[in-house]
Amino acid sequence: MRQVAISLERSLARPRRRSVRSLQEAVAAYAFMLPWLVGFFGLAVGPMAASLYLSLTDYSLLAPPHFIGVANYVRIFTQDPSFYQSLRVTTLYVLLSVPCRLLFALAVAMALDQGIRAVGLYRTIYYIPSLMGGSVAVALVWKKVFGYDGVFNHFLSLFGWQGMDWVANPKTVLYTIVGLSVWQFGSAMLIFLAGLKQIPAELYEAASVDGASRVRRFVSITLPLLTPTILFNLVMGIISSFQNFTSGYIIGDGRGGPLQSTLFYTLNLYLQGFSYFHMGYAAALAWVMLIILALLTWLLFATQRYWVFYFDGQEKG
Amino acid sequence: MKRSTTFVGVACIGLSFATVFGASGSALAARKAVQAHQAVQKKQAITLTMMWWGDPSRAERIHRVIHVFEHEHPEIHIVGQFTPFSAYFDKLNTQLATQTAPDIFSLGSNINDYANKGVLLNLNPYVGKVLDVSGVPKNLLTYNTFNGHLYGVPSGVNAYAIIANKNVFQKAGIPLPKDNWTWNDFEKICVTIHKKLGNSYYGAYNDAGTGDAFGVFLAQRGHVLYDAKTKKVGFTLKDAEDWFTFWSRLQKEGAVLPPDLQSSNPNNAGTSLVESGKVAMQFAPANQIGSFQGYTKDRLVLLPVPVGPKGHGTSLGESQILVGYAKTQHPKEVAEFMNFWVNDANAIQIMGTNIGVPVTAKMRAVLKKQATASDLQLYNYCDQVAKYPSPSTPVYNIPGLNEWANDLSDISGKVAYGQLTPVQAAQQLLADAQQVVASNQ
Repeated sequence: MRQVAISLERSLARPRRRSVRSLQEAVAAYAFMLPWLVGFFGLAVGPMAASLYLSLTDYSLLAPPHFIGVANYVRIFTQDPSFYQSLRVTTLYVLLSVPCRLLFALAVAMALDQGIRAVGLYRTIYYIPSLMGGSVAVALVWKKVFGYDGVFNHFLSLFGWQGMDWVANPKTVLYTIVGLSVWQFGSAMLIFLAGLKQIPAELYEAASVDGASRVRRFVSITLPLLTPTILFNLVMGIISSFQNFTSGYIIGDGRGGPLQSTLFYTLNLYLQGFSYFHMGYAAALAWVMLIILALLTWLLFATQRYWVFYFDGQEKG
Repeated sequence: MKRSTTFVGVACIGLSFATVFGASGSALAARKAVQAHQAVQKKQAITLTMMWWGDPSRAERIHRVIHVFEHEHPEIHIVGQFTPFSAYFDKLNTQLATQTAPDIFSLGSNINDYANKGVLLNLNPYVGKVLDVSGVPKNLLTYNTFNGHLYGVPSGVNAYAIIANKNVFQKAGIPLPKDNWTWNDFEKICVTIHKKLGNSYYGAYNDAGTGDAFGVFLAQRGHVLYDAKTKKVGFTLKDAEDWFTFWSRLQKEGAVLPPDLQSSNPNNAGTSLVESGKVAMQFAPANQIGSFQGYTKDRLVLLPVPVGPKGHGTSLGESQILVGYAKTQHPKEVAEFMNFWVNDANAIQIMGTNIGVPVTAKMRAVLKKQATASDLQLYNYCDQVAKYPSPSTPVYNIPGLNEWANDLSDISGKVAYGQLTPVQAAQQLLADAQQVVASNQ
């Protein structure tokens, strides 16, 4: 804050000499930003504006769109049971997969943070599922693993349990997809590892001197100091889980089945747009999803004053 | 410091411009290279793209047909691409929306979805010139004609049937049903097979969610899924109620496959339990018998669909329709290929009955000489079906076929899992069908 004030003073004191130079700097800055700006406007802002327009139209993909106002939005909330079903499936998925994945990632990160040798190697190995987990190939393997004749049932039979077809059963298929998501804990783990490294060692030392147990140290030092990292992982996790598509498409039957139990929000959106000729409606669904995600993120940030602790000498408030 | 910043800035601007122009420059270079390549291959100046659905064995046949065609028309080159059925229409819709659709592609009973959206090539200018459709039965041409424009040629004729595993019938000690068997006979046989062979054997797949089977059921009662004239749903609440009640009763009797086994073993060639003999029968297009037989040593046979209250089975229809893209650069060549597809003896011999029985009598005669046992069954069945009265007006699928098919399969699943009663299911099905029709006009 103080630095900003000083530089502000300076720039006010010598306005003329700086103007030429600042212009040059600005040009240079924009030149550096150009690739990003092109991408941002060409690949993000442009398509978003187009999708906002399409969401207000009846667009069958094959005929030009025609404007119908907010009719699509009205239909989403009043006439479309598949919207609520997809919201139910997705919410359940987010509620299960995000906490499980974060817990798992934290556990592995803490295990790797014990100063063991070849941490880099383990880190890489545990990160691999995150790279592959979103792929079609792994989803196909997953489907086989939890199929009637899959590895999972063979494993269960070792204990004398009779398995079933976990991916064909509408009651269990979502849990197998949650399992696949938990398996992709790598990026959350890396961020937790970085967060753990940030915690000053002297705090632990002081706590040990005071006779604090491992559990006590975890609860009183690690967890509070890690809350900003947890918040970040939570927000990123919720956003990415909400947008889950591939595993639902492949492990389910690609149409949300069995019994609409894999009808993820994005899958419903895809079907409406590309399969059912309702691209305008799909665009409206996308905007509703954006609003839902924005609200969730805002909600999380609003609650952070109650549970997130920033260790920078002063409390955030 | 100052100078170096400026320099970096300028360099960067230069660089980004270089990238932009470099990209277009390289595109230009690429285009030149392509042109040069085309100049070398002057004979193949025209490239057409073609897309169809199906498995690799169908692709192999079609590629051979294309090869023969290219040999006869050295100036035309055809690039084929194929997708599994489940993803086919999603892909096609996307390509049509971005105006990158293939010049030639396949459609089915959903041709109305596309013809009415103006994306298909009008073949009228080519009929009688490069495209000879004189051998194609009138009613098939009528089917593909909208507002006086012919939009497609039939790839083959087909009829809906039941594929049955004869070994299962023998094991259960019951004879194969007679040709004029009824839906009640179907039920009795399913129950008997389940009782005689035990718990892991079933009489049939639960085909309540199969749109084509429902269509057959409706036609037997003098109704249709969709009435193209009035642009309204053509079945009644009673139809749907009877349909769901029938299958739901069979399920309670243990006569048909339970829903979880059904979703882990879809009734397609290669995954169907009819092949492994766990299930005795399933509904399928008759020409699939060859593909199914390829996956099992058991003897598979074609049975006619059970007859309805008026004694009717089903009628012949088009298995697939070859259509052109309205915005193709080479409409004449597209028509030439269609002509080859329908009328060339080589092409027919290569395709066999993979997409159905050839539509012209002349080409059927060509095929009968090389018929396999499965083929013979197919011919006999088609001959038999041809005796039933066929509907006077063309019967199309509900516009918005993908959405309708999904609704039907969802609702029938809910009945199978006991979440809906047949009566509730019928109400929902009719409401959904009306909504789908309304949103696809």
